[in-house]
Amino acid sequence: MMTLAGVDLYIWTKDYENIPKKEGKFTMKLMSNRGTKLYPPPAPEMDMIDWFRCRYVSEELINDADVDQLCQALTSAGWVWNKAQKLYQIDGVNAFSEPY
Amino acid sequence: MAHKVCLIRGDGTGPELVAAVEKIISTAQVDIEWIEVEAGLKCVEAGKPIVPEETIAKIKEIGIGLKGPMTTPIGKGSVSPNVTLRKKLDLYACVRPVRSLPGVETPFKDLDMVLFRENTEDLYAQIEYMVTPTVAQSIKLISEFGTERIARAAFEYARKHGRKKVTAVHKANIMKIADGLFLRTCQKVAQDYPDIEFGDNIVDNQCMQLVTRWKSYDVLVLPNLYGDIVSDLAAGMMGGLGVAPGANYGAKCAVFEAVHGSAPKYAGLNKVNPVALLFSATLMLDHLGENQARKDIEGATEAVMGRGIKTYDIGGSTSTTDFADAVCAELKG
Repeated sequence: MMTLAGVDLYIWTKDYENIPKKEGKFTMKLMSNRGTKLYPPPAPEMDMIDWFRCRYVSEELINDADVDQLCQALTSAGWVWNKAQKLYQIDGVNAFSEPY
Repeated sequence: MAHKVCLIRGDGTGPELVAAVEKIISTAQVDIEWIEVEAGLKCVEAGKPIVPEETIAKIKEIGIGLKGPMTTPIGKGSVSPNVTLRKKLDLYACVRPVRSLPGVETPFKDLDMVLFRENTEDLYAQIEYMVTPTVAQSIKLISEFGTERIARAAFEYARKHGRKKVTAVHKANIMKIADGLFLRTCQKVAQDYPDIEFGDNIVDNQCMQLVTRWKSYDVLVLPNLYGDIVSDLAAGMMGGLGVAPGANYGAKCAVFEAVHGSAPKYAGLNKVNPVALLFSATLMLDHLGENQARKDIEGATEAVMGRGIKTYDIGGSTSTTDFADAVCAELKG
């Protein structure tokens, strides 16, 4: 069975340190740049591009409308997200990769 | 003053290969202070990350490392220690020299190429999802930034080492967006190097040309996945992974490693070829400015191989330690 576990939002910015870590039901679990984890620390010293994968998850049960609300909240706050990928678990196992 | 170098002994056959290389470098009278750092299976067994943060920090501090082969544990959640090092140290350029060696029989005579593989992005960004229960998607991430720095590294190397031509390898006829960006960026960088000939080739055609017209190629620059595949093809052309060296360079650090695995089934058998790690170490000596030592060790090794003293993988029966002793004797002689 496939259940919604969160969302990866890809945000186009240089101001990555200020991307919200909490929004509504969601908490940022990690942020990566070109597949390398930056948040939570420690982050490697590396050059970055201006496109950040931000993984939001929730302790609460979430649905598609919650993801819509998260996206709307970030847009309203001026953040440009240009790709979103819902995260699923299949039979309770994460069906998405983790960054290095 | 001694050069400081971080040393990862590795898993499986790694420690015996590292011991052979240490002995040869010592015989060549290069003064190196080896600073041992932990990584690999022992760390996992002790409940630590496969590459602990202390190891990353130490290599960053010292700026250079030599690494024996390590094992990626099989199973869910396991990560490759090699990819972890490349990502966390931002070692963006994997450099693989490919050349003919005496005593190594292959159909490919007079090989002399250098491959530059982008090391940090492409499908190796490892961004993957199950998007339905029966559909998976991996993201191929190519950036202008990532491509420009590997292309520039390839051209700078060509200029420094008197190479004549750089060829960008891609599949832009099909992946017009991602590989198209890679190709366009390489073309743009090439304009800054009018003294170096530039060409490009589609990856499947490049594989065919490598085994039919290898003398037409000099320096190749490739995105991560094609680089992974083509560099092993090229290693096979020079005689196999047992003789294929590798180096990983970043802006601030460099880590030198044999490109083969840890071969755990041969651990302790004193059998595995140390040449790949030894020639990775001579690339390290070059990086340290010990050019004469590099020439001495490579010359001694080739002389030994030319006399038919070689390990099982290239048709000999010499043990790891006997091979190392023969190189040491040649250096002293």
